Amino acid sequence: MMDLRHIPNQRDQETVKMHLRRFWLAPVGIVFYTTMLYLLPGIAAVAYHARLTTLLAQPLLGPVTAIIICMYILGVWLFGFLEFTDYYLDVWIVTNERIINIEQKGLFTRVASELHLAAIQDATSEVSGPLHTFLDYGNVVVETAAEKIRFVFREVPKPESVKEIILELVEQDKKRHNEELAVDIAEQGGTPQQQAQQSSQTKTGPV
Amino acid sequence: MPLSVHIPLAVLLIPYALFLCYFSFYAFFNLYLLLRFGIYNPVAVFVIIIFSAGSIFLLAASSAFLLSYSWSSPMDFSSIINGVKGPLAPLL
Repeated sequence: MMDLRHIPNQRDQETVKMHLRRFWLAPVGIVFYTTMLYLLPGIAAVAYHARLTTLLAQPLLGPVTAIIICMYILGVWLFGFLEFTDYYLDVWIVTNERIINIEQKGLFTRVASELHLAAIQDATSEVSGPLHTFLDYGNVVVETAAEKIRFVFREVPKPESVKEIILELVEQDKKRHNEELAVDIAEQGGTPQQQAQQSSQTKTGPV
Repeated sequence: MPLSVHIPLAVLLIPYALFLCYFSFYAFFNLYLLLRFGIYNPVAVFVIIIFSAGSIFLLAASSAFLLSYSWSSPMDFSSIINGVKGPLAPLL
């Protein structure tokens, strides 16, 4: 299993600031539907117990019905857990360097993409609908300027706070990179302006 | 001369066996995905244990349920007609 202290391709001093999944209503919904798929036929079986017993005692229809019942019970169990896996493996990891978007599409397709904080231009939170507003969950859309890349954190809890944290991390990342750049320039000698002049002279140097 | 074909009830177990193959494949792949790509936390471990234990229990229970039938006996198609006319009439 993946440990959040050791994410894939982790850089020096990169730390996980938050990891997000869809709001808890999603797994509760899966449990609810699975329970209903067991409960409703179960109630029907209890209500028509005598007829079901007669049917199961039939020489041919009995075994056929028994097989169908077994397949149904196992199928619902598998369906419930496949849905849970689909929910559980959709995750957004925000570090102080990048955002990693991992999406599980069905059982055999897994898409992992990442976005560096330096490339982020804007983050928007969307909460629409009475239930979303009451329980405070919704989407967060992270956009870059040039490449028109959009990361959508779907149905995450507290989208407003998530957006604020992302924007704050973007600011911190910019500051850190500027400081690192200044240190590099200072180590090479000269002020940033001088360095810039030198570099422009090199590029447009005498023919 | 009446044509009598003796097909054992066990033939009905073929689709069930195919379903069990499908179930096993998806269940193992599901567990593999959770163990390989899931983020470690106690809830995930709990879910994996519940799924594994539940699957084993349901497979054992369904096998026990199906073993109560005599699968070697021939299929009796006339029982369907008799059943429709007799005890299953209100059901069908």
